[in-house]
Amino acid sequence: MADKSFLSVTRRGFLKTIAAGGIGAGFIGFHGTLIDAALFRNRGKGALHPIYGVSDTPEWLHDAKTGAMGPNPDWMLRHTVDQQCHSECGLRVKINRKTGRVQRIMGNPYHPNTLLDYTRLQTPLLDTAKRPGTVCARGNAGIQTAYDPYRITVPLKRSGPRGSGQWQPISWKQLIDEVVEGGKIFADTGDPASKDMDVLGFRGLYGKRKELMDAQAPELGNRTNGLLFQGGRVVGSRLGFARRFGKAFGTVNVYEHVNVCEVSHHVATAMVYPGKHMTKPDVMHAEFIIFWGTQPGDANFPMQTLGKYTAQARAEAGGLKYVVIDPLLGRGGVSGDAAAWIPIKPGTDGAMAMAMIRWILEQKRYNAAYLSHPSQSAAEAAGELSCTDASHLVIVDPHHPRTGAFLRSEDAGLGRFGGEEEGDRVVIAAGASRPAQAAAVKTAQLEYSGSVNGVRVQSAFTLLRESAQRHTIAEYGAICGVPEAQIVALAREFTSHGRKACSEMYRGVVKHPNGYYNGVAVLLLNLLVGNLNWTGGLTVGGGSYGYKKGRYDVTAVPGAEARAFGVKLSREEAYYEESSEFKAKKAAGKNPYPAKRPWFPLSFEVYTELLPSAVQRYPYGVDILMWHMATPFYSVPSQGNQAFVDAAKDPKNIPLIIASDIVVGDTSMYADYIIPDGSFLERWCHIGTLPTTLTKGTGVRWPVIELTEKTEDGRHMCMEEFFIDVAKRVGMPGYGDNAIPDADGKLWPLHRKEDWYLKATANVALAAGGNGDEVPDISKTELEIGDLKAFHAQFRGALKDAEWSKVLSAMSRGGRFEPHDRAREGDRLTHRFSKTLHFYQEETALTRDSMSGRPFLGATGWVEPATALGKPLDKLDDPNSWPLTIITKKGALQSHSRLASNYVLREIMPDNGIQIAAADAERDGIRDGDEVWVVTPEGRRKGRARVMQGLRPGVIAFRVGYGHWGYGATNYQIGGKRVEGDQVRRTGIHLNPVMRRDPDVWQMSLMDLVGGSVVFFNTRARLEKETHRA
Amino acid sequence: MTMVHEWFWEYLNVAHGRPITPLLATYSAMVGIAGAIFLFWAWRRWRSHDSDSAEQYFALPLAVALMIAGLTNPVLEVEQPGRLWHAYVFGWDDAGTAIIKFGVVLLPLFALLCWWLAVAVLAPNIERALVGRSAAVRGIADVATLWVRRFNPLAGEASSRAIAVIGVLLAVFAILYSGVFLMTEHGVVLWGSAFVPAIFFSSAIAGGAGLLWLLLPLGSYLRDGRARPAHMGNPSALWIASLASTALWLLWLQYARHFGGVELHRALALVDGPYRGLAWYWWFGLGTVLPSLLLFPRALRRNPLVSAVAAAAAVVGAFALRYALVIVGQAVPKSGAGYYLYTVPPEMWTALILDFAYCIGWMALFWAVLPYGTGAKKDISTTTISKEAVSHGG
Repeated sequence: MADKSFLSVTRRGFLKTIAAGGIGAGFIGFHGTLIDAALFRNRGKGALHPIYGVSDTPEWLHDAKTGAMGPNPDWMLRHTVDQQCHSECGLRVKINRKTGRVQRIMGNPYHPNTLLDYTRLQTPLLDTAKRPGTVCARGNAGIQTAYDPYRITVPLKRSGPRGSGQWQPISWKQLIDEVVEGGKIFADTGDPASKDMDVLGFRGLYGKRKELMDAQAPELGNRTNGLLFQGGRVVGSRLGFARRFGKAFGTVNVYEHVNVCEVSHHVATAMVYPGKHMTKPDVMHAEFIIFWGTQPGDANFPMQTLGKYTAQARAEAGGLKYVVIDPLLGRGGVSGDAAAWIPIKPGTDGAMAMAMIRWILEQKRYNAAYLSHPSQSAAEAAGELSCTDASHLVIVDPHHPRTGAFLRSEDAGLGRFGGEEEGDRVVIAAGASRPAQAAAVKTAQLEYSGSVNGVRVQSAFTLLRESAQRHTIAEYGAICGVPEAQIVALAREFTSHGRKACSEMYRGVVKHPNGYYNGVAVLLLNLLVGNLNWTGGLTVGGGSYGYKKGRYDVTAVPGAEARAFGVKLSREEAYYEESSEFKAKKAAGKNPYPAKRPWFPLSFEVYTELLPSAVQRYPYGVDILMWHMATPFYSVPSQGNQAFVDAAKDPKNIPLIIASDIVVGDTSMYADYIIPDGSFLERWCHIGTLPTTLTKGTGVRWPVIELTEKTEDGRHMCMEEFFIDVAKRVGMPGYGDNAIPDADGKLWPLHRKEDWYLKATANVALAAGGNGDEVPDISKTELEIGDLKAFHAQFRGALKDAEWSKVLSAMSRGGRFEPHDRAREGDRLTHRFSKTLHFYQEETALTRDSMSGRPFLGATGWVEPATALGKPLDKLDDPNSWPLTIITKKGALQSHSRLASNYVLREIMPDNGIQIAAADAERDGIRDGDEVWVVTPEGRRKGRARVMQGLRPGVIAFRVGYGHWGYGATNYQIGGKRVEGDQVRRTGIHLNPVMRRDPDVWQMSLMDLVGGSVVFFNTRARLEKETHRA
Repeated sequence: MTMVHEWFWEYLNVAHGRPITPLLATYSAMVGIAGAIFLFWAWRRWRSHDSDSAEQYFALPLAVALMIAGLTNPVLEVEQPGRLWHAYVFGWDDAGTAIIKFGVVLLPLFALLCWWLAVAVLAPNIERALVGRSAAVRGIADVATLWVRRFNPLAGEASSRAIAVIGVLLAVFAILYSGVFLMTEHGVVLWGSAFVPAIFFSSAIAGGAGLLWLLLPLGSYLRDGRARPAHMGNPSALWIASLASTALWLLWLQYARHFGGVELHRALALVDGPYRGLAWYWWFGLGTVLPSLLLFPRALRRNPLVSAVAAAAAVVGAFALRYALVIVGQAVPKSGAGYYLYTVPPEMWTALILDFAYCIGWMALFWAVLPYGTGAKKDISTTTISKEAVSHGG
């Protein structure tokens, strides 16, 4: 019994021990929760859960008795400008005052993009409480761009070979020391390719600012052109800041990314609408719009605004009808009676537009009366709002020294006339059938083909007719894959709405070797109906409030010793025929054509040619390359091929590469140094609104938060502070104590970015105005809402005291915007364009192709896409072997490379996949979800099939922005610690690296040699189904 | 043979948060098994009025421990612990957005009922134990035992049966509740089926039978020195429930593969793919097939060791099933957001382990402090002793 008793006690004791241990462990582990539960703590009205919980308290407090709204002291509201895409919408950013963390992003109701009838600038901030603006999913997701866990906040230096993924955090001082002074700065990397290399830093290169790049070719400028700034999405005043640095340093090579995007669109527009880079329809009042190569709600400028306008306009009784011409049916809502989709063959928009032009001309459905006015004054006298060169005569005699140019009064034997150049052109006066100076007659003959003063001439209109008549409508239809009847029906519809019909385009039209010509053809449809400046017609926009001059000249570089000049590395805006290379070949009796690489005299920002030109040292090499928001290996067709990446990252080819980036990106991973940059919520920029909104406006982006580490003197690290410190260290003019002149000539200091950007803001805020666009003074409440008192105190010395109130007010409203009711004046738009519109592009006609030596076409037409040396692409890659054409897709959730960190977007669209037309998939036995290889002449990539109906057979599409290898997608090391890559960012397929290179030029993508665009939509491909799993 | 959805094995994406963690799976399994234990207890009592079996003494305290530990999980999960039960005091006006929903009110009632009946069985012992104690001690004891000395629901036949019926209804509710909760949860395609509560029910029955088989001998040994086995009907119940689970699982998958949309197929591909270890090996293989096979021969059902192995497998399976469904379900929402391969974070492991310890602690406490007494057959004189219980070694 004793044992039993003993055992009994022991057993019970054992139970008690277990009980004490278990319950004790539970209580210890869960004590907080259990105590909270016992005391009824945390029993709010909603769950504290990111998905199911209640939202934060609102940013405004509502007084139930008076109905008045007041600011919630827990939050501050700051208005800035988005940069999740290039729509540049106004944002209202809700920030927790205690933590300084952004909690929510909404639309800024003062900004035209966010509301149809956006808020007047004079409206107090408090009165906007009930009506914030809208912002799209990308805009909302911007918080995740700023708080990306892969953000870099301190300078990094590679600690291994370029691209090895080994980084060392360094101090700001070390960064500036090394890149300025140069020398054996890579001795510590252990990289055999660079450890013994003597690198020329900023000081060394700046020291050569008076030396020519090539004494035999002085047109190439000075050695300082060896500094190349390759910017991605750097726009407005931020680009201005970089350009000013380039100007002070003495380099012409400061670029943004435009030719990746759609420079041919801008060039084509500028050739038709002189000096303008974009036109847009007055969507809300148009009756019929053709969207070429785009669709509202998917992309275009500004995406959300165009989508909103279109949805609203078509919903109105008797409202907008529109047609989308694009190989891919996006989410533009093309359904019902008000809209239609025409799936065109990629790159044949020009053929379809020319077919429509031919039919319109033959059926005389154009606005003849409008086109007959040869000058703006004649047009205005007749009640028109614009004029064209349709009746202007062009010299077509091939032996005439000025063949291709407009006939001048002197050529016609009419003597020399003064006045504007365009007025000096010659027309055939209507009725009299005699030549006359354009400025001297009210109406002129549209059609003319004959001789004037012994010179064979044709009118611009006749040249267009002849160009259009090179093919029958049926032939055009066969080229573009659209039935003749459909083309005719579309042309009839387009010409059935008077001036309230518009032909609108985006990059789908122009990202082809023939993109420029396609673009011009699409735009000319507008000229035929005479829709410019009319309500419901086309606009070039209301313009913007300039940031450059006014109270201060922020572009000036006082004391600059050396002028930045010379041929740009990209050979843009320069003529091959004027180069020493050309002249030397001619002198040697050689055929100077083709040039080693193409020249782009009509284009600008030919970003894609920078790296291959630098590697090939044509026309010269690069000493220092700076990437800013630039990812050419990811974003440029074909430049992600390994051979090119290897060449570009070889230190012998480019000795020093510095990137400024917010993460270790797909391209910045190959840099020597990475400067931590601010996200768009941490940056400054002044950026004009887009023509779509019709009014004048400039958004002010400013740092509503700052997340990067600070320099020793308390400035947050970023690209601008880097420029400032380099410039001061080198001793460049325009930085330091006497840097920025005001209107009185007084010089102001530039020691921090705000010294410059605040003055640019003053230029915007204090520019002359009227009609309700004046910036009001900021109120006490508004200062409080935006927590701007501290900001003012911090930067008080950067402006004159009298300027602060309006500057802070502009910041508090996110910019300066003309009232929405200033968009129209009855049946005409308020902001009108008055230069002569061009049926005939004289400048194009007088420019030669640097590869073939042949002149470009002055009268646009259908041009078959070809390589640089003229080989048609269908002969380059046999369609029988390569039956598919790749196109890219810009969607509302993902439009470019840099949203991989936006997981809320990835949740909605986690994988892009390869979009395949149902008919193609059925033929090839591919099911939705199958793994398939996309094989091109350049390589292959594997992805998942997305079989769909809304895609033209023969075309495959992919959304850009997936399938990263950098930007947090793969592992790397910082200071010996491994940073794990994220599968989310790797997911998907990216086909840019296997896109078609031009076989005629080393490592050049297919290019539009006229407009300068790189080609995205002409790579042929085939699909191979994956038959086994790896 | 290549499975139909094999290509989905490579997960597509990793994005989106999880509103529900594995804590819910633990909660579901513990509460479900507690409900099953009650059913076994009630069934035996209804059939035999046996109040001297191991079940009668040790099962309901075990169920209460499971309820306490089980309900701790949603308290931990919602991070607003006061919110879960303040409604009992302050009303339900503020609970409208609670993800647990109103049905949760019955679970604490079920736990209280289990406790009341657990102490009701021991009412005479409690009475005896309190003889000579101070009024304060007796008062505290009365509160702790829900005044079972004054009103013993098992004292009369009618009240005994009435309370058993109420208890059975609550027990069935407890077993089904978490399954119905998942079934009605919007946006999670894998959960949207009546098969979920059904299979939760069968697995809970198997798990309950298994746990009783494993723990009752332990409980009785630790208190009485006699390792009295659970009712010999338990292995049979376990076997039948395992067979039912096997059939339900296979039928469900067949149904889903035949009639499900692409998102459900993607979810099933995860079941077949990255989570096949949890779903197929731990749940289906170990939790249903093994018990079904081991206990198929009637003779083996009489073998305590074989039954113990099957019981352990069924208990593990009951948990594995819920982990699999909770984790895989949220990987593929109806939004098409894609797959999210889940790795249990360290703090979650800690919480799960602590919760099991917590459960065992409460179970041990009840077994240690309740006045079972020795020579129970004589002590509990007011209850009827069945011959069956004695014959089973009770």
